[in-house]
Amino acid sequence: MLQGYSLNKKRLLLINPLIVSTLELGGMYSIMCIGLTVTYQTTKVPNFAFADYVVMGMNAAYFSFAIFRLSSPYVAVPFSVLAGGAFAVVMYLLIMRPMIRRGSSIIILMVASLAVDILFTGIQNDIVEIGVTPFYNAFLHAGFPTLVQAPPLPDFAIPGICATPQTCGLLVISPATVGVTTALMFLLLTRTKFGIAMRAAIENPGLAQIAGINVERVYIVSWFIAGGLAGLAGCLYAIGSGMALGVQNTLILDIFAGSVLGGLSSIYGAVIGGFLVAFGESYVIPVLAQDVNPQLGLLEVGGVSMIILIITLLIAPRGLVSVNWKRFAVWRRKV
Amino acid sequence: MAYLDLLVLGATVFASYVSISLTLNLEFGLTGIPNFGKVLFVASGGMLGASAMYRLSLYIYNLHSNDIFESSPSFSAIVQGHLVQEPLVAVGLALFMVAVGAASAGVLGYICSYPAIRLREDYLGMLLLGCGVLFSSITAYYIPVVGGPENLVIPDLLSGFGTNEQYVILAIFVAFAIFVFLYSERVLRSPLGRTLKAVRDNEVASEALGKDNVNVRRKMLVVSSFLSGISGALWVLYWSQKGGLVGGDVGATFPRLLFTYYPFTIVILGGIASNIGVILGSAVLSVVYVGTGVSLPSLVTTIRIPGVDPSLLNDFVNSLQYLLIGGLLLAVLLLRPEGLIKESPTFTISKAKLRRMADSITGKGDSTKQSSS
Repeated sequence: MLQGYSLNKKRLLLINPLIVSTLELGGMYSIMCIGLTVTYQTTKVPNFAFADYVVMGMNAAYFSFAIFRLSSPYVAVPFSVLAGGAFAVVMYLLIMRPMIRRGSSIIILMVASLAVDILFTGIQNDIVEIGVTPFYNAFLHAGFPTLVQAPPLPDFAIPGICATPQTCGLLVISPATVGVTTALMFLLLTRTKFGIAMRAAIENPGLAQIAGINVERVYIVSWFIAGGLAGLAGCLYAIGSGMALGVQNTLILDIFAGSVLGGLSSIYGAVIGGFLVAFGESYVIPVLAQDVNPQLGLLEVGGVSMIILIITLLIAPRGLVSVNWKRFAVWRRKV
Repeated sequence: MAYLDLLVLGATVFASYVSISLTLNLEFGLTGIPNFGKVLFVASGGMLGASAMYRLSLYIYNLHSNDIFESSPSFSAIVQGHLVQEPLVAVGLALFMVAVGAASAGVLGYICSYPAIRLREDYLGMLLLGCGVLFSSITAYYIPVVGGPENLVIPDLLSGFGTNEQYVILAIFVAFAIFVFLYSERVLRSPLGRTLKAVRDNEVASEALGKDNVNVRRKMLVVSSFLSGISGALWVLYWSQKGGLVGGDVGATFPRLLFTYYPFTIVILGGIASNIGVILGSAVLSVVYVGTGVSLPSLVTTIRIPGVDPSLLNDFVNSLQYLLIGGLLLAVLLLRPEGLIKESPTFTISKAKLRRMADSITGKGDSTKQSSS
């Protein structure tokens, strides 16, 4: 039940381990939230199967690491991106697009994405876990971890920052990936022809089509970007925390909470939301559990994200982006 | 004998799915509330009801312990010994459990609806799904609710019936299913049913006609949560006869697969907003459950394939239901989106009565009594 990342909290680090895990986890959550925001913007459906793309990325990371005997798990990133993106595109083409064309309501589309989630759970449990893994162990290379509770992939060490190599490079890589991703998304959406076409297709599909934009192609590429980001985050997650069976069930709550906090409409909001959820989960809750009441530690899995989701819905239902921050600047001028 | 047990189990599951899926149909099919946290309301009814009933029985028979959950096997045996002699107390305890379960599920429904119900349905779906996961992760470790990691063993309430007990419990399940069916039919045919459909299909129009969308949705969520809480408490009654384990781990006692995914598949397969469709869907999925959830795992334990780890085979069979349910749900959504029974306009009065009235007006029929007014 408890997720993998709480397993390796005890590593020896020179920086406060809670801050380290906040930064690492925050980076992963931010990338996932950006992806979910992209799928939400294109189809206006909260994608309950989104965490499955992340798990697909984890699968790809483990298998490519083992099959190609990679020197570093970061080399597995392209495989994870491809796996996550391919899954998203297949789901869009086979399930979402026919149903949207038929004019299904949002609720039915949500049920469809939940159905994909159920089916993927079965595929993951039965085919990957019980069919593929023993086959791989028997014929290719014995000693491949079973993915029910797989250990984290080996990370590289940075002398002077961390004492042990375990999940040390991720401390730098994870926030850096968020920076690069955000910058690339910014450039894509504002400086390239395709990005502007994408914004137009999201804003007004009918008018975009009249202006000669192939809306369908734009949507397919958007879903590939979203799935690819999820796969990338999955690869980082496999390096930082390993993999546990059924991790998608709690991961989806964190992704939803971060995205709703960010407003489900802006990439920067998604980044802030992802980091805030990670801060609550791996900093606030461990500190509270240690100082106030150990029972509060129960909230780490799913609890924090639900509290954040509820508070966001009560106070600012359109997310942080919708809040008029200038309103709060009045008292600052007086000081 | 084993076949008879399996048949009784199948009938119990069928009756339970009829009642749970009908309440889901009220929320999801009629009102348009995507209740992806259905398991929360069933599980809270069952677990909080069982916990309250166990505490009350300890109070009645004056049993004390520092850790009431650790000593629950011995306490339950003592309580059961008393209950065989005092059947009235046993019935009272069962009613108390059902009442507490229903009330707590209804209250939870109100609380869950509060933050999100005035917003769009997508936020509501996310929130309800999350509340379900949160409830299971809290009760799995938080001891005061149902013992957390320690298992709560509850007394067998209806043990006075002896060997007929499983038929009595089946009768209770069936009676409750019939009650929920009559209630759903009543709602569907009443002005409230048409209001619900209006809220689902066109919020702006229903608001313009003076309907309070938020209030209507909240009412339906509370009523259906109340009814699903009763279903959960009835499951505890069933388990109390089968050994009485109510684990703190909701994921194991009330799995999301059985109490969220199955009902959704039933409603989608049967046809949205169709009560008869729900019964058909329940029949299909009870067969699926008894086949792949009960018979196949017990069959697999007897099979030994050389070179294959038996636990691996067991895991494979246990996850097979996810493949089946997910595949079935997607197939219905893609190939036959209207389900087995298509949604049709409902008549407030039954068709036969309408025809008789028409006949009496045109003078064809023999029923002159109605035209006298």
